[in-house]
Amino acid sequence: MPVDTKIRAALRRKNLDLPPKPRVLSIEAEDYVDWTGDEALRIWVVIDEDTTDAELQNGNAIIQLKRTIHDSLLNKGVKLYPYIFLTKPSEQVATDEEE
Amino acid sequence: MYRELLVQARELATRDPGKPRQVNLRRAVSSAYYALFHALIDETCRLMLGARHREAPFRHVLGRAFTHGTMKQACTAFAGGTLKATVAKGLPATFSIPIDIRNLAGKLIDLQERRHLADYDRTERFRRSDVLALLDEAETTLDTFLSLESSIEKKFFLVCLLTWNTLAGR
Repeated sequence: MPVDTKIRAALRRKNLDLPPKPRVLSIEAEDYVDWTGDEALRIWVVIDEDTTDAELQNGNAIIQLKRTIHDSLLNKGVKLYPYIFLTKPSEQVATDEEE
Repeated sequence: MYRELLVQARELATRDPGKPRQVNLRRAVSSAYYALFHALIDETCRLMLGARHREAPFRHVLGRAFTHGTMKQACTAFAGGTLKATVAKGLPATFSIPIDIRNLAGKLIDLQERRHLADYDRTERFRRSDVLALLDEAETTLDTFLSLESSIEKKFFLVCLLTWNTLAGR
């Protein structure tokens, strides 16, 4: 199922009461199937490159950020579970090291 | 044990001063998941069998009955804030799921999925920022949950972690 307009509307940043830190640059969703075979959403939250470790480890801010996104989806009638991943722009383009 | 697993997870996630090694991020995610997994099982078994030392062997045996899949299905329902009609039928009309239980349930789902990716999917690349945030969320939501006063909502959630598939399938 392609990401539909309800989902896009739910993830519009101007409609979300996100915490000031970490600063969110963009939110994108893609269809996802989790390990149990349930349809879900994979949501990429791109955060400011200058976000510090301390800001990432302020559990309450991140919890609030993810709760806001999840509740926005529920309010639009989207029942798919959102797996929310954080990334900095530099981490999006980084290549894997040899393992 | 879950405290040590969380400490281990944080140590792994912050071990590399520069670019983090994927193997460390993967093991950090896995340890954090098992911290939550075992903490919730322990809490449920204490509720069902008692918290005294001499009851520990019975708790440990009962703990083997929990499954990842059933816990995930229960947590998906609780994280979403509403229980399906077949489960909610008969509950007081005022019943609602406290936000701290919703948050913890969501964290178990998130970590379980990441754990599966970490252990089985070589195509997945873990981001340090995502892992650091996840570890802190896990610790915060778990501490908050464990410090909640005993309530029927808390007890019901814990028992559902073991019984969900039977209960929801009726």
